[in-house]
Amino acid sequence: MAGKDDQGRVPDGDDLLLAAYATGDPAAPRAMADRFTAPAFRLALRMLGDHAEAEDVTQEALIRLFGAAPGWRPGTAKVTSWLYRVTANLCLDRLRQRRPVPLSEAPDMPGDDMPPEARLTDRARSDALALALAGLPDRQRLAVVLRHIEGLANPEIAAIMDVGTEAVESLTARGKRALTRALAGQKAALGYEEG
Amino acid sequence: MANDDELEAAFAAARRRDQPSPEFQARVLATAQAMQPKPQSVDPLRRAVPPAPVRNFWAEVGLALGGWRAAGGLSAAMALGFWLGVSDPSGLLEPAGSVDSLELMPGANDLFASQTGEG
Repeated sequence: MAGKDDQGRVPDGDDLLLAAYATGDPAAPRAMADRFTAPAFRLALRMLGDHAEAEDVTQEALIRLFGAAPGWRPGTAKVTSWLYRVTANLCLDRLRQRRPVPLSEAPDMPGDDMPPEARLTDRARSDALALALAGLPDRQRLAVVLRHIEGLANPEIAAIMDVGTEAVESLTARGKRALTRALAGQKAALGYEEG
Repeated sequence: MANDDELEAAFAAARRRDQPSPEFQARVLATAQAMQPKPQSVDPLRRAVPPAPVRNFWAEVGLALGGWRAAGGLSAAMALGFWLGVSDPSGLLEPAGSVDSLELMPGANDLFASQTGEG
């Protein structure tokens, strides 16, 4: 499942966390939940555009991760790459059965300490981006989210999507151009200065 | 057209907002706890004391009698006693021949007779 860039790597903190979980360390479940829920959820939410569905997919992906922990071989696949790949495949399976819906009902997170005006701007930008992402082809959207929201490098995205690095560069470049066009008419509404 | 900075600002807004809710985090934690393998360690007391073997009734009787050697000797003695009890006892005295009287003190009569004659 791991790409070439994942082979022969030095075991990292995520590998150790899975090992601790597999040997019954009582602190490991909370550390696992804290470490892996957010990345899987962010990807699922931006791919599916629906909070309830994103939670379902995230739960399913994490159940697979918890189940894989006892047989995990440290130093082979990167744990987060494996999780992104499982999450992406679950999302693509769902998207084949329906079209994504715009992310319009995102609840405000409790504990958000941003000023109200900044929070409104954030929400407007996030919702506009969700709408623009929903217009991209599924694999283009996946590449853009992994590159620009999750911040992964192109070789890691290539391993997750099982394509070459050049294909990832092409997907992200086309996706970014499409997003730029889609957001162009909303500068004022999104808090950008007209220019 | 939006520029790169504006697009990056939208990505950053998405990163800040796309966080799982505390309720969902709690559900994930409960799942992680339920699925976690149990530790392999075993209670030292249970490991130190091996489980008692299951014995049947006759094994218990044999042990109570002192083991299979003692039980064998006892069985042989019982068989001999039973045979002595049911068999005809007359044959047991045959090697000694027929006995009509038994002299407990040989020569005692002669001694008594001589003393009587002198008196």
